[in-house]
Amino acid sequence: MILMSNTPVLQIKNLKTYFYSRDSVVKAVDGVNMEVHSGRITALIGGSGSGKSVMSRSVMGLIDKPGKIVDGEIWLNGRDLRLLSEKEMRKVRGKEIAMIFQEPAAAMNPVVKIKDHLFEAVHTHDRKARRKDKMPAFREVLLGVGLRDPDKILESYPFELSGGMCQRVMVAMGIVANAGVLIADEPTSSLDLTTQISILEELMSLRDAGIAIILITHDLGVVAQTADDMYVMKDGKIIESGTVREVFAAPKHPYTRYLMEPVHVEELR
Amino acid sequence: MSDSGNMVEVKGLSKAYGQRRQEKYAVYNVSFAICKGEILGLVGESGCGKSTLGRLLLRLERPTKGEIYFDGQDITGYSFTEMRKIRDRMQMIFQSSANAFNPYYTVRQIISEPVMNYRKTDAGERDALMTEMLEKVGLDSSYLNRYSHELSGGQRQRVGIARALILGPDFVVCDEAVSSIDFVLKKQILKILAEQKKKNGFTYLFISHDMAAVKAVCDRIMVMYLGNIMEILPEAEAKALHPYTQALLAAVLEPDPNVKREKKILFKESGELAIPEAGCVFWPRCLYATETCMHRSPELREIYDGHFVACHYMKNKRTLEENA
Amino acid sequence: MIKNTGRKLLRNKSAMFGLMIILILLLMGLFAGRIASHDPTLVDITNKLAPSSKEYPLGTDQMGRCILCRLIYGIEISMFTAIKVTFIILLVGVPLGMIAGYCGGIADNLVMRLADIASTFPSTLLALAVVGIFGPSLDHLVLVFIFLWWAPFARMVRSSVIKLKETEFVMAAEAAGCSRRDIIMKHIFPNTLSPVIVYATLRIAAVITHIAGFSFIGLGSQPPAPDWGVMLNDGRQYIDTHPGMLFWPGLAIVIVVFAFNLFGEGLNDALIPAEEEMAVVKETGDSNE
Repeated sequence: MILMSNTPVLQIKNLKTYFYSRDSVVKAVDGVNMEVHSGRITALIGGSGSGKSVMSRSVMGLIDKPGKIVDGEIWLNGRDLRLLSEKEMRKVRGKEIAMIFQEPAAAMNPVVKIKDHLFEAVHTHDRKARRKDKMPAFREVLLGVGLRDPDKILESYPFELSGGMCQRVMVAMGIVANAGVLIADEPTSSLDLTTQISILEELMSLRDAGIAIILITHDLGVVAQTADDMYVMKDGKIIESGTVREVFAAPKHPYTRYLMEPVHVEELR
Repeated sequence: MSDSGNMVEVKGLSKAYGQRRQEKYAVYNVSFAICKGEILGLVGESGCGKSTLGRLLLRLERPTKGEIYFDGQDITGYSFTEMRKIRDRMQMIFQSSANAFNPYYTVRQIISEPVMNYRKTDAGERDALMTEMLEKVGLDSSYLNRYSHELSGGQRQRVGIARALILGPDFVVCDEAVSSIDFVLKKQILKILAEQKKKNGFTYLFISHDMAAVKAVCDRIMVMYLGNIMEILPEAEAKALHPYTQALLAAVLEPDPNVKREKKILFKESGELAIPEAGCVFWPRCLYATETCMHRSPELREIYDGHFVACHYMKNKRTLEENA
Repeated sequence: MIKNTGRKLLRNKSAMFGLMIILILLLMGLFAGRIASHDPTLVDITNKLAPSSKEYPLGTDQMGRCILCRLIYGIEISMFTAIKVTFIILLVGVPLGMIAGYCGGIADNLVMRLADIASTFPSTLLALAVVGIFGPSLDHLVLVFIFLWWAPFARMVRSSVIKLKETEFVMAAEAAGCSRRDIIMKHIFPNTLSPVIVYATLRIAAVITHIAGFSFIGLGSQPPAPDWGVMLNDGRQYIDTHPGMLFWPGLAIVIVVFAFNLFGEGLNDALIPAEEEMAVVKETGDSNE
């Protein structure tokens, strides 16, 4: 176990992200406070439309019109990301925060080979890096995320890989970027059960290596088996938070309790 | 002929795609029956042919080989027109993807379509029927004039259920009906399905890759891998015997932080799923595979009452446990 | 869907601008007899090459004909003909594409081979050949255009039908007990239309330029018809002394083509979801030009 430091690596204070349409305002994220620690998996759980994905995109600085971060602070490594320019933010993305998406194949440029995707992830924070020098490291990382034939994979295009393999490559990109914070937005929702397990195990070993992971999911099983801390989100607000054990042992909010009660279909049989 | 207790029965059913030389089997030599009034679960990973099988049963696809019986009649060779005559008795709930509904249709048009095709009703009767159906699935008549893209994922799924159930069919195929939606809706939809079954005695084929959902609602569970049936569990809680089923079950994550998973991964990983040239389809990923498995393909045999397993090492149950 | 499309289109200023020009020109063409004060073919040598005046706002040509009146009457030849041609092309291409896509097999093969043949002919060469055999005339040209240009529409429709056949809602329609006719007419056909309409709008512009082009080289409309291409040809000899004769018909063509393109692209934005945007136009567009 890594010693848990008391200062969070990422701290979100009163974050508000609103979406404006012609006649209404959607408060997708409405005053969220959150702390993320190194060496821990922090789960953000909520139903569809609860604002959890908007929240992660706000942290990454990826909110476009008609959305806007209206208020709040996002502290990462002693800086408020909201005060950074787009150029500075681009350096932060990939170098300090990396992100894994739900549809890995859609998040990767289909005509760029895997090795170039990986190199791109390195290049954002290490301008002097040379492609050739990095290849052995890439091979090792790919082996590390459970891809058995790294040489073949490096030369492949994203569409030649299965969904699970693409997701592993995304995890690998997160690793080579050497970012201290990794946001995983529903990393396993589109995958099969057996693949899901191995991806989650990769995430857990990253956690053990001291990386802070935000795991966005709607699956309580995933939270219970992998996460350390959890935040429950509903209608843009955090309604409950705590360590996973605490929350599962004694859920306070009625919505959390509703989520946790098992499916009682048996009596309907 | 099938006996009258079976809603659906298939014998040696296969479906191949592609050109003659490079045929790929999506479903291979599958035989099973669904009893009247039961929910049969069909699980497997994506690409295992479970959706194809569901469509074959409703003859939305043409089988390459084998026979399909629906309530005792052999419908294998039925034409489009002959099938039309009995389609009101069999329905399908599609995955709630963006393509599940005609984008130019309102909910009213979507749900009234089967009614107009099979029942002689006037607009008033239809509206009453639709309102009743929508209320059953937790919506109301205010949704009738909306287009499908104006609905959320869960609402769309419920409209799909309403469309499938409005004719009161005897047999319903649910193709990943709860897979892409979040847990709150998942619960609601499972409840709707179970209630409808209890009240009306529907027979379901419940296709899903979500083991937890399947275990919650199904009477029996059938496990498929690469187009082949690996195991049929006689009840949802029965102990899995096939190594593949065990691997699938081990992969289910318990929503309880105090129950830690013991075994991690119970199968070998392979990059792509391909049918091996000979032997059992699962051997490349099976932890217990032996020489025999690589050369001879196992038959689906009844081990206990109603418990079918396709594995060479099931003659003697101990063999597997010792190996493990 | 339909509601949204209309709203998106109304909000698209350039598309609305294009549509306005098209409508105004169409009305002018329709009421050419009332608007134009002179007979477009009336020769008045005494008044030839007159400068702009109250009676002849754009002056007269080498035969003393009113240039403005000829332009207005020309709308019928270029725009009306182009719209008619495109309509016939649709009537041929869309059903053939539907048949090919839905039936597959031999029908598909037959239609697609015909389409291949149609699209391998170089349009200029074929036009020259036809005109060479049957004599120069706008009607002959129109036949050539129809023969050549139904193919991309058939291909487009066929590929969307093949995609649609596999979609869940078409399968659901079959499961709901729809007849074949309902499946085709209610579920497949309306969903193939968006790209077809967009492409047809752009195609009208292409037909207009082609008619003018062929008339310019003397293979289409014959003088003294007030065709814009013919007018351009007339103006050629007077380019130094009376550039207006060349300029005004040229401008008319540019405006019409511009208007149709603006409108077509606006339709594309409004009808086709963001991911597929312009893909249709890029794929199939302008390959025959």
